Amino acid sequence: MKGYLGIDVGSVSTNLAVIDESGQVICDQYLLTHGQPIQAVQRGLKEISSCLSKDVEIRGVGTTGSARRLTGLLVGADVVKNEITAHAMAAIQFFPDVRTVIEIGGQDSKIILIRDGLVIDFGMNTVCAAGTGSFLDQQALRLGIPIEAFGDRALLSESAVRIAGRCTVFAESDMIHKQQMGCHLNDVIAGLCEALVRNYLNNVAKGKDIQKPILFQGGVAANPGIRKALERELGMEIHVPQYYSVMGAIGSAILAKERMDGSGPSQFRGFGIMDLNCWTRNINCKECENTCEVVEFIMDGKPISYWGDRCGKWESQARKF
Amino acid sequence: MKLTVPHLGHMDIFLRAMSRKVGPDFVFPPKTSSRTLLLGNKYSPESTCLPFKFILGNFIEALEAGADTIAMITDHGPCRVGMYDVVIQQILKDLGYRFDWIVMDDTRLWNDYLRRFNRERKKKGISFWQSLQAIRFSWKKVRLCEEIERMAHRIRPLEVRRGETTRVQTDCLRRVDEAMDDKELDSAHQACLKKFHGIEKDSFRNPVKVLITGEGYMVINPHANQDIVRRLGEMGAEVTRTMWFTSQIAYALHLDLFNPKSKRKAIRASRPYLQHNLGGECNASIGYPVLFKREGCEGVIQLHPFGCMLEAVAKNILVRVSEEYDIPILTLSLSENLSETLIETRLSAFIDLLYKRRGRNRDR
Repeated sequence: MKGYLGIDVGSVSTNLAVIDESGQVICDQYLLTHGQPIQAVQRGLKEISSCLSKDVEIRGVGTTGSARRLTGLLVGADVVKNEITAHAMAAIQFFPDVRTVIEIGGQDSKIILIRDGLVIDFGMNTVCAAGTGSFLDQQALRLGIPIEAFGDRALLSESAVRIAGRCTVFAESDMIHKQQMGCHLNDVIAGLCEALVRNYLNNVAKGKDIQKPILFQGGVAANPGIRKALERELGMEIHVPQYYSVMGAIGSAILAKERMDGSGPSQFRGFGIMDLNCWTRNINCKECENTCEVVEFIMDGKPISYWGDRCGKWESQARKF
Repeated sequence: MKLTVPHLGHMDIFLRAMSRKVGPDFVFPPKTSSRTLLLGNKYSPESTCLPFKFILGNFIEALEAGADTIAMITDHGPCRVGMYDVVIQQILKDLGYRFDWIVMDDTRLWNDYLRRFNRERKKKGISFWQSLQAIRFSWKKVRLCEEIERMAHRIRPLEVRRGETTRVQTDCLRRVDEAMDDKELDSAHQACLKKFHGIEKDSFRNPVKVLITGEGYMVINPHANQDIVRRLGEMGAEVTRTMWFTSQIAYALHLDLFNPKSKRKAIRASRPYLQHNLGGECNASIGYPVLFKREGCEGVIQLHPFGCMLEAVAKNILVRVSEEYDIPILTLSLSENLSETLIETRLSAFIDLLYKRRGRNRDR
């Protein structure tokens, strides 16, 4: 059987998914990146290779997420694409008539407008990360509530308190203020969910024409408090797809499938790379006033690639390997 | 007198050519680098616009390099460039630098600039005719520089080896800068054409055409816009810029009356959306997409320096232009705290969107 692997390495989580020829998900993995993308991908490959049956042959690999370039080099990707395109691909695959995709991840949040199966516009958070997964994580940790239960606590609230959600630092001090005033913790959490949703709609989705059906994907979609606040604020129903947390990975697997359609063998290095020793080294190029920060990628003691240079000098050197 | 100016496109090449023939002596700031921005940031008001920080950094570095006179343009109207002159002067004085300040705008052009120029000319014993010739030669030079850039914009999305076009471009600009007379300039021109021709190209590609509009300083200077032109080119997009050093001069001197895509025409094209001319590049930013859509441009990127009120006005009106002319417009708000990943992700998603619109998969 032929399979296509998609890897989405984000700030918080590393997701992998394998789809078959018809686009069905065979197997998926959600792990935490813990600030070490290379190790996370290697761990992910280990897990996914143990869940795949022996007869699945990987015919193509796609990577996405903020570490897409690094991951692409590590695994030998056939297609390296930004996460906006990847998320849109997956959304369209599962819900062909989708018109709006809301994606809230660890560090960034996006809105993608789709009409007739075509991305027509998108937005991404620019100024501040308030309203993303990391902040929710942080607050759950501070309050000693497991993140999985965080959203449910918000649903228990009867009247949410008002929290200023413009900036994470102010949101946190506002939360502390309300909690010291004696407000119930559930109400404070519900207030936080509402503040984050307001912030999302006023920044990322500002001026965007949000139409039904709406898909909500990304790790934060697991949070029922945010889901409910979004529905109330928009006055529209929101769907959370079954694979909401690995949609980016599925999207890049679909992109890999499209790319490999009718073309030669995949560049995939095989599952063997999960045991190789890989690391990177930073070089501050001092050749010109650009002072680019060049990254050297070393696999098994040999430099494999360089990137980060504006002029292409280092990158062309990499081709010699 | 050792005169200095901030970096603006190829203005340094123009002025260097002038100074070789007629003077005055120039001390150009070193190429804008991360240090320039660091210096600019350190001594600027925190909320001022990005060009201010770059220009202040340029001046500090130029003064360090031995400049003693600064020439700075100014403007009237809501654009903050009108306050650059006064505020930068004050900041530099507070830092303890000593310098002469020449401020240039249309009302003071004769007094401050042309008269000084004339005095310098006479001091050196150069005839009026010679100085006219020098202006002609320098103008020709800077036009050639911009032509080289346009060639690079066209060829970069077709290049087979990433970075080759950029290297050729840098090399060609250096050759043009070094040319001392018309003959050398002509041979440099020929050499450049040959070099660009020699780049290995994949002519089967059909790159999407993207227009870059927005605030002038950000459009002209690669250091200010995160080298967006090169990035887009390497992603497979053919870029057109609205603003050039020569087009700004031509606009100021009313030399662009017959150019179909001049700033003047762009301002006229913005009239259905905004009757009042707000100044800066606000109206032009709105009008350019209209003009270039007719030329087959498929997408527009507006560069908005964080905190620029005029471009914020344009941004909101561009939403309507985008709908009415069926052309996708991406606004990038640029500030000094901008991660490269963010720019890279947005640009590549935008390029994907444009290719998908064409109804065919990107072949790269």
